[in-house]
Amino acid sequence: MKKQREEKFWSKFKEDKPAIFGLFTVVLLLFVAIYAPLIANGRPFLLLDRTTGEVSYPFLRYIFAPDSTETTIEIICNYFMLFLPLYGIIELIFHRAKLIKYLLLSVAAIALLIPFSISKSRIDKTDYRKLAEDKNLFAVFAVIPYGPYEQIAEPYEKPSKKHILGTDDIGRSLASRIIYGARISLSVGIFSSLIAMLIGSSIGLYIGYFKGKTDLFAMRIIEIISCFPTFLLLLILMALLKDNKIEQSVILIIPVIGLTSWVGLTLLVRGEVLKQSALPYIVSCKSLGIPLGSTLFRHLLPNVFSIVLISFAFSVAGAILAESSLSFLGFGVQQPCASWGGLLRQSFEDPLSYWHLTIFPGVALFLAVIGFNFAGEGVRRAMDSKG
Amino acid sequence: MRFIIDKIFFSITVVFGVMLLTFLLFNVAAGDPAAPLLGKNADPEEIESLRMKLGSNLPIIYGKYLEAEAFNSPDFVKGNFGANINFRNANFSKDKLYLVLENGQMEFKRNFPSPLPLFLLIKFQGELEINGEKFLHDKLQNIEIPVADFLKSVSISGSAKIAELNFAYQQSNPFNSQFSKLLGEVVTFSTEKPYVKFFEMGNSISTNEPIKKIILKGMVPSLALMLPIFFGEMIISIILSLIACSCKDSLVDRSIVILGVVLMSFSYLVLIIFFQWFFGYYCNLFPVWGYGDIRYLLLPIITGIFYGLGSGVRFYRTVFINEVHKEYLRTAAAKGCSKLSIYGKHLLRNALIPIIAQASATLPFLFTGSLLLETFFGIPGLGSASIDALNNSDLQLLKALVIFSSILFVVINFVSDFLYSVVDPRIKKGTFK
Repeated sequence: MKKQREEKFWSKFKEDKPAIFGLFTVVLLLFVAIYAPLIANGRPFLLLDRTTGEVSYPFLRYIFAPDSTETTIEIICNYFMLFLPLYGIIELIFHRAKLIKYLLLSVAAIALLIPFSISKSRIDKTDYRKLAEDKNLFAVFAVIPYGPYEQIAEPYEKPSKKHILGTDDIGRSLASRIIYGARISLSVGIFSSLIAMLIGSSIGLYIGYFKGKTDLFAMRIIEIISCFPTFLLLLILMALLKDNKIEQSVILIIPVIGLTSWVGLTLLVRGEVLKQSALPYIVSCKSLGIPLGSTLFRHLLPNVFSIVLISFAFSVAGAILAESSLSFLGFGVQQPCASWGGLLRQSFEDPLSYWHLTIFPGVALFLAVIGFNFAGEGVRRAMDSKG
Repeated sequence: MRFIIDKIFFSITVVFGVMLLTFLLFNVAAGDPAAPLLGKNADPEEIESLRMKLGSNLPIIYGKYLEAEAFNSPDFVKGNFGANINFRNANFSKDKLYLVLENGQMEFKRNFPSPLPLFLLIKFQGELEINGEKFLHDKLQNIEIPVADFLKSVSISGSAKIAELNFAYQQSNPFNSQFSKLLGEVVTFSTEKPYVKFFEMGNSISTNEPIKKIILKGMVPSLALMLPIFFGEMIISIILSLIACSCKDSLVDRSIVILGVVLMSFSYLVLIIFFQWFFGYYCNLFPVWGYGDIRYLLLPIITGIFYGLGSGVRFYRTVFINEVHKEYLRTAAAKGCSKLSIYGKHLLRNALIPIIAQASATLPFLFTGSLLLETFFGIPGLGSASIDALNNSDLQLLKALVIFSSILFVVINFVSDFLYSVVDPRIKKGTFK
């Protein structure tokens, strides 16, 4: 039954071309974000001295201990960068033996934490491109051989063969900054929506199931919260918390966006739970005396999960937009960290002559948001019988 | 009538809740506004006069004492003494909970003559001599000692474990607190001529203009921007979704839906930059900055409508599609009504409730929009006032703006509830939910 439903869902989803496009865009952007250091990096993967045969790997240290300001997000992304191939290999070999698979996966996940906790970051401002040229070393660089924090050219340089997308206001490679900006935007979108989803669906589930006074009380509080202008609240919270000397602005933005955007999801889940709990299967759960946790999480949650999933996709899109607006106004991700909204801000002085600073981050932002929106819309249509 | 009274009562509770939440945000979470405004090395007298002006030295909800700067109190949070305090054999314990005196002495020097009756609040265990008077406590115990106006210093000596040590002013009315001040600022009732006063929030810190005046002045441009966007967006998206609905699953319908999602995905920033560039600079049709006649407003209005269209179309189409299957439409078609009458009259009238719900739900998003639009088109409305207040860290003005917009939203909710009952009388009777 479950398999049948899944098959039906996929066959419907596959017919929906915009949804496939959305899913493809999301996967592509996630790939770019997670593997950003392999695509754009100022440090060579391998440096070989032809005369002495000495080999060094300047890139390696910065996987485990990034020297950027927003280290937490970088470390999380780098962790996934290493973990995903491992997962793929284990899944491929042991896909039959479930127990061994999960055991190996958890061992791999824990073992991967070790190098991250040991390594210490070190600021390295060596220009490896020049070094390799001067000393005639053999070096393997990434496709875009510039880091997001390196000043490598004149400010506001137009796109050229050397710098594919041009440079930003102090001469950093725009291509590299957009790629690293994807990390920030997507992780803000996904993590803050996860927070919102956790809060929203658990409150919604709880008050929808128990109804009565709990529901009445919680609904009044929700009404009060929803009276606040969300974006202004976001701005105020960011402005208030910024003074508290938290160096990593992203770590601040994620909970702030998450905590201000759960209300809509709560209402959706509550409505659906109210509808479902009148149905026979929940009524029989109650009369059979099935424990509360089991009723809520094993029987009720799977049936409202589709709604949660759909609004998760839309909420990621919304969070990405909110982050970009915040950064654009100067209250979001702080310099020197790259973010799409921050890049747009640099172009705002003169969008005509700095057209490359408008178009490329704008397109990236548009693609990310439309990807999540189309995917969400596709899931909704594939699950909905009315269309 | 009962229905309306219920709703009014309910709205008042919500407004009260909103104020409580604003209060928590601004007065409790944000901390003292005087310190960031005056900087690190501010004069204590200056800090105190600003605190008196802002009311930030009042107790939070209830209390007899006001925070005083006439004498410096040791900082138990950071675990240090600070300026104008001489001490000997006095140390903070490691967890910073206690100040331990072992046959020691502390001398507090006066910063400036205190304007109000000053008290020393001290909680300790042990033996202390305070200004020549001896105290012996076996357990941790509170005492308050009046500090006379003429005293230029206070000395404490002896051996004791001190848990609290604060200089504070005493006030006669313990209900005079930050919270009651906020309530009073929003609404004050009196027996004299104006009877009721609203929004006496004082002056803005940065421009020294009355906050009430700033809000009233900002409301006109904001409304001139928001109302056309609101109605334009609603009408255009209803028309588009009716078209989509009338030819469901056709090419037109699908392209409208896809277009809706595409429009939804545009960021406000990209739209603003693109429209300013295209209509403002490239076609040279509109001015892109300032506020004067209608020409200045047209471009931001177009941008706003364009932005909101996507989600509007998506929502209304779902509503109408749910309605299309119902029987009354088939009856209308069988009666021989024209397509225009079926969709424009029968369907629309029955879908009014979700339309009102959606309309009242989009209004807070309009505020977001006006924030960005006003900032980047140079329109001196409430949105740009909030951004200015944020940049100047003018908390009082921000607080006023938040409360104002929340109250506006409560009023809108009230009106939409009232409209529900007009549209569908069953709601008023309580027989239908």
